[in-house]
Amino acid sequence: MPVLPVRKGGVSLLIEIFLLRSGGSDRQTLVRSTGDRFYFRILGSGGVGKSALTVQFVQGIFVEKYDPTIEDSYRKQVEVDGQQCMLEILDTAGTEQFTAMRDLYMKNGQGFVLVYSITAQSTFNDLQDLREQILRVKDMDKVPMVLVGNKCDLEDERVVGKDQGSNLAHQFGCTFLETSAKAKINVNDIFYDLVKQINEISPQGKPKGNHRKRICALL
Amino acid sequence: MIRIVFKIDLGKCIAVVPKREDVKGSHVQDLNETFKHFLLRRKGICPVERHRKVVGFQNFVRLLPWWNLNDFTKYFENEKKKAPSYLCVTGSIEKPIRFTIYLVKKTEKAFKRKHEWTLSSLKEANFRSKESPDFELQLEKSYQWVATSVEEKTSFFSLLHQICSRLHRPPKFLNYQAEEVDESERANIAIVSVPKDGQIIESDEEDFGLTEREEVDLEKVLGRAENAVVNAEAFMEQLAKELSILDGENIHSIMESETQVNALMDSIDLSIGALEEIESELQDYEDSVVQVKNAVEKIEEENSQMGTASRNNQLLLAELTNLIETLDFPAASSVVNADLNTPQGIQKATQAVYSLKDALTLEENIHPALLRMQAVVDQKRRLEKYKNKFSLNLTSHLAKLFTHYGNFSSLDSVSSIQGFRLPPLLPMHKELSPYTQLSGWLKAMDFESFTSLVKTYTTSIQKIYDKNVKALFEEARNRISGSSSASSKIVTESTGDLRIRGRYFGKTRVLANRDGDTESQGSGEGSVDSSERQHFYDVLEQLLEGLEPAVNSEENFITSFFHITDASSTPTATSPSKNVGGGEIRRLMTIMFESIETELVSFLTHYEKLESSFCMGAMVRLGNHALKPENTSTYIGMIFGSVLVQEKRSFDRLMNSYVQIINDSRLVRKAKPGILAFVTDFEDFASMSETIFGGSVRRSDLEKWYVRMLTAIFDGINRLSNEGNKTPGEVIRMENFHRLHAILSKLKVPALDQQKRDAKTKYNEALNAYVTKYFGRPLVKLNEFFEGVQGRVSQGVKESEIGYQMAFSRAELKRVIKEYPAKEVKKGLDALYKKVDKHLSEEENLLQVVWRAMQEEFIVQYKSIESLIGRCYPGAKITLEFTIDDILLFFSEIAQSH
Repeated sequence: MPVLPVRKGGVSLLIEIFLLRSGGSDRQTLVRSTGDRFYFRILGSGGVGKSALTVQFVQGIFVEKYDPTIEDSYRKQVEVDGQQCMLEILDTAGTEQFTAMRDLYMKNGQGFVLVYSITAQSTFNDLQDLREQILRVKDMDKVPMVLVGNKCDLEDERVVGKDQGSNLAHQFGCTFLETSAKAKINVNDIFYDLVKQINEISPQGKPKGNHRKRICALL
Repeated sequence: MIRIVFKIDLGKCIAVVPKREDVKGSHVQDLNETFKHFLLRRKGICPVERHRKVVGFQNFVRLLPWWNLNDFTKYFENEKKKAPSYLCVTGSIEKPIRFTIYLVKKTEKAFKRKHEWTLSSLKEANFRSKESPDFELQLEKSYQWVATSVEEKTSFFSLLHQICSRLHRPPKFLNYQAEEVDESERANIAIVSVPKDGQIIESDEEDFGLTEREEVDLEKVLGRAENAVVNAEAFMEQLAKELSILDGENIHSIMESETQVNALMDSIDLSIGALEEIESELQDYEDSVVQVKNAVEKIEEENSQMGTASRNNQLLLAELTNLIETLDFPAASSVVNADLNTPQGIQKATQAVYSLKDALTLEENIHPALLRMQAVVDQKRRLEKYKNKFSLNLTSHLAKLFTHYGNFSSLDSVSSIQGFRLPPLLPMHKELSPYTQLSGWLKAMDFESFTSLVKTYTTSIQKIYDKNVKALFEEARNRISGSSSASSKIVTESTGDLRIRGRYFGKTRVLANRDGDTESQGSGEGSVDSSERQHFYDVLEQLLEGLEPAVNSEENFITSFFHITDASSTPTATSPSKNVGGGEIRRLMTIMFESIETELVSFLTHYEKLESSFCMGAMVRLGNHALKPENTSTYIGMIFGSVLVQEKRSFDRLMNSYVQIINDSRLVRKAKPGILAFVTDFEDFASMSETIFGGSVRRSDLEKWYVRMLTAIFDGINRLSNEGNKTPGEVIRMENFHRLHAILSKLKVPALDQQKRDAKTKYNEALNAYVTKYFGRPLVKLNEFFEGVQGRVSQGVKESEIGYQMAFSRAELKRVIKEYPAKEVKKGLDALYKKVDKHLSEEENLLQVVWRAMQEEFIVQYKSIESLIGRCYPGAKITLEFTIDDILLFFSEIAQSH
């Protein structure tokens, strides 16, 4: 476990794992679509670097060690096109044991990051099914989504070509990025792009009546 | 060609002017004879010999018909002045073929070649008109000639045109209409052979001398007519007379030779007859041969037809054999009356039905046309009947078995829980396994029945598992409550300290409760001691272990028994399951083991309500099971995974609540806050967490929270230290950071090294601040005096001149020093000690440390005063009224006296 050099004070501002005072597990459903809150889901096979990307984005550090994630949620305030956005990012488990939970993740997510590793073909192949599941669960034709080929710093071990990735993204009708959590390539772009995609679908017209801020923001 | 040569042999003609019937025969003959001689004699070869050679096909000169331009007869008879001229065209047969036009003149004795032109030099041929015989040839210059007749001219032009058309650059033909050449005319083209070198007729200038014989003859003739010179006319007449006589004789001799010719003709006729006979005989033979040939052909044809027929028969036989072999099903009775109760019966039935399956499916190898055969249709129907019958038997038999097991096993479920694990239905699996192949057969042959059979299985078996699972969880609850009552006895008997130690952030929680937070009420009572906790985890571990084998064995069993070959059931370890909605296996497993997940969740929820920190251990244990490599794709692994996520959430919630508690905590209203509650709580929490997590794979989850908790604690200490009204903040910080550093050092978590170092620094900072602030200046007046000195020095007064200033004179110094005798100093220190003692808590026991720090601080002050005295008042021999030894003595005396 690497030391997390989290600066005191800053940490609770930025990466507070939030919870409801009421303790309800269905917190997302309570606070859905409150305008500037964005619920993102990081999905993909095990070991492709979902957590690494997320932690790099949220905390700006690269986690070298591989610990299979069970589930971690992060929050980060960013400014996109002059709009303050609170990103609620759920980093999910990639390993197969957790497949049963996916439906739930997908139901409560707004934007999806589908991650594969350019060094493992199978992780790329798995995404087709994953996307179909998302569309089925959301019951929509198009969902804000970014296809991410991670580990692009490992060019020597590349198995999945860049054209393969862009072709798949074209087929999905979504953005495609090759990233590296380690080398900090394109990491922030993933999340900014998702925010833009969501804003395009539902511009900032925030339903005022829906401001049921049951979230306790721990600052 | 032969005929022509033949004619030449007979001396009839060399060249024939066929249509010149009007030309008088004698003249023609004469002309021909003469021309022949002209051509041949000069080669000195006997004409007959030469002509034989013609048959040998050597060096031909095709002598084309030649025409007299002016009817030589006419000239001969009427004009007699001019010798007639002839125009003829010859061509070499040798390649390259060269055509030459000759102008030949007839003299009295011979022919003379007057001119020759190559045909290619002919530029233009003007036919003029059909009425007049005149024409024009454009050679090196224009020649105008008149033919004896129009027909002759036409004939000549026709030939000329024919030849010229073959030339590379044919000459222009004016006023001429090409005609189809008469076949007969062509046939009459005479061919004469000459030696190779004779293809071009030699020019008349160089030769045409008379042979000796001719000379003699001529001399004789001239001799006879001595008067010839004198009387040429007479001589000529005589010659003409003689010529006519000779002519007559010639004709005569021809007439005489007629008999010979006739004889020859007869013999030819005879030989022709003979030939015809031979021919007819040959015809007979040929006829017979043709007959034989026909017969042979017919036989051959029949043969091949027979071959085809036999091949067809063979193919038909093979096809039928194949058909019969495929469709033949002798084991019908064993299918219909299969005994499914004994292993032998099952085995027999298995073999039988698989051959039935072969029969039914191999049918696809049969030609589709054959499938329309009535016999095939009947047999198929029969086989279908067998199949249906057997499938019905099998289905009902197995369904009966399933239901039986379902009912039977559920009866004695209570006893089956022995050993605290979910009993795998091994005996049933063992008994059912002989049917595996039959079930596979059913799946292939009758999917509908198979599906309903699977359904029957799952519903019957689900009852057993449901019951067993519930019983297992009941047992688990019993075990926990049984022991907890026992352990609670221990707790009441032994020290109550354990209870307190088992409570994490409990004290702060109580405080929080006071603030009206009712949420944590549940965990408020959760004072569970560590042995109970351990017991809970042990039971949980056993429970998880107890679940695994049965579920796995059931999964294996249905996979093989129902021949489920989902791609998703054997995915690679790295890939997430392909079957998003759950494959067939998962579907069946969910039907049968639905209760596990709900039971497990409610079990954990129940105990976590009693003690929320149970989720930590639960997460670790579940993590161990769920993340086992062999559980990557098993159903139980997935169940564990789902529950694990929920536990992780509980864990995160719990941790967050701890952080929250730290953030919300207030200072206790008592004299000495001492070590803050959350610091000790953290110690307890950390030691508990370490025992739970140890080297677990989930450590990283805990460590993330350590970091955040410590951040909150650091903030909390700083925040609360400013709230203390009686106790100085430095003391709170000093004591708590000291404790925190101790805790972290004991914890030895590499991930927290940074925090450990921070705690150490903060402790030192607090200690220094405290000592500086509270040790203060026990020698106030001395300090003030020397501060003044220092001030002057920094204003630029020389150190040695300080003593001359009024306020800082030696006398003044002595007066101040006198105010601090050793006794006074000791009294001051005594009071200080008491104050420090009042500030510091007993828990942390930092009094000695602080006292020592103060002693050092005092000595530092002492030394600085002494050195100033030495520098500013040199030689005055003024010293303080106490020594360093005195200070040390005072400090140790005070420390010992308390």
